[in-house]
Amino acid sequence: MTPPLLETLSLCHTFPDGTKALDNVDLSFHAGSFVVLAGANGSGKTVFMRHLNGLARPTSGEVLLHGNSVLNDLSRARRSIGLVFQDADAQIVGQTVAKDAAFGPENLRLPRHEIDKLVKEALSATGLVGFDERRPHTLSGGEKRRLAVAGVLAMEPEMLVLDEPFTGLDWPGCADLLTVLNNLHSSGKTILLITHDLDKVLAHADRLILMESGCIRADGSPRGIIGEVEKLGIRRPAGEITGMSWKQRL
Amino acid sequence: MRELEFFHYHSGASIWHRHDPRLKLLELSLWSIMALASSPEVMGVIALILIVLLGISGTRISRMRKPLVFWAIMAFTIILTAGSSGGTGSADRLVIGSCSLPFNPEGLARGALRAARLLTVLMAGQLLSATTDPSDLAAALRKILFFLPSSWSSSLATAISLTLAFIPRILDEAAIIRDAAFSRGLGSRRSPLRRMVSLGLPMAEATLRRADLTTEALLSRCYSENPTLPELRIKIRDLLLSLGVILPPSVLMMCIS
Repeated sequence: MTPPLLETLSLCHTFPDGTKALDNVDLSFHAGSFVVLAGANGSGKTVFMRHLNGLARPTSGEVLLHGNSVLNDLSRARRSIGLVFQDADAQIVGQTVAKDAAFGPENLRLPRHEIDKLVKEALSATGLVGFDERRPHTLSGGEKRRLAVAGVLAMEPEMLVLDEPFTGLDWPGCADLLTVLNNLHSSGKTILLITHDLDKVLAHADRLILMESGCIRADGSPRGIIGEVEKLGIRRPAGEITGMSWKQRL
Repeated sequence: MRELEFFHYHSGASIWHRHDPRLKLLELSLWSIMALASSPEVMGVIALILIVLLGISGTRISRMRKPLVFWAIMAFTIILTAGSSGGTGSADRLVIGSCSLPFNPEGLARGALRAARLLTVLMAGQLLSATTDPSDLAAALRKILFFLPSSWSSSLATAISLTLAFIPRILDEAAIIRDAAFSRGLGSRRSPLRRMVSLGLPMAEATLRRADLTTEALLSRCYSENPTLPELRIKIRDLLLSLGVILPPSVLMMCIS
């Protein structure tokens, strides 16, 4: 079996007031997988995400990228693990769509011709061709979310981690984003989607992880553990898993 | 997201948008010095050039309504202060009913000229910020400040470009909090101090929270103070444009002096 792309070993995070946000989390993610991490509010999902590229320091335990601690080479970890935050506005820094997508590659000090190529590819992959000169703040919610994905994609990450990407989006916005994520997954990208809203994504995931109070409560195929979700405060989607795709419904 | 109308970049393809940002900075400095220090005629020519360039770059007067109101208040204060100082004789007093106020026509003219100079400098600043992307401005500053240690010039350039980029977000956050507070009856409070405290604290908290989120997002995207800079190239067109906007007031200034 190939070694995992990313793994967490006994990862613990305790807040200064003593609250345990993560408690001995052992997880591994293999290249090319589409994983959904679900949990109720306050279950530690976002704190977990912040550890994956070294934004947060664990109280104990470690996060390994290809077997090396992410804290040993933060720049590599941040390039390889692309985080897309819940608040797309906080992530957008450029004055135009193209300039925002170029922000990451510029920080990596890539040559200009390579930056232009990466930006073009990222905008194309996220369906934002022709938006290059648009002001990011004039985009719709779904377009902003796709721009946030483009900004991360332009850094050529090995894995995309998205925190509640469907929050606040209307149906077309969700469907467009889901199409982008499916295409990225088909092209070989590893995707970790953090959400408590399962019905939009479960049909596309090949693994579901359920989290509660900083601990992993269940980890397996969506079909195998879907029965557990309601016990953990997550709404169980109605119907069969295969029918739970907003993309298919459109 | 609310769009800031003044001192904020608006993308476009006008000749002034495409003008080299280093030359724009140089022109802004020269215009400001000339507008503040030279004769009213020179200032008038600069103001005329600025009005034309603001028109070409697509900045509408309606966009400048709020800052113009601010300028008008400032201008009124400047004129009033200058107009009421310097008069000593009884002829230098303005009598309204039983009130007698000091009045100096020369001071009044001097104040009006100062207010006009201030407006010209504000217009020059608006032209630069409305037509120059903050990242291009940062790159231009780094090139211009080549004589400083690179860590100083990059820090300064980054600070300026980030500030320009984030002001609208902070204002947006402030507007949301203000709207929420007023919809919950803040407007009925009589004490302006209590109103300020009720708005100020959540605004400060929200700004810090926003800054925190943005910092994490920047770090996630490998934020560096020394990124690949935008390519800046001074073309013949840029030089001709520079000459066209700097030469007329300079020649006039030399003729007058």
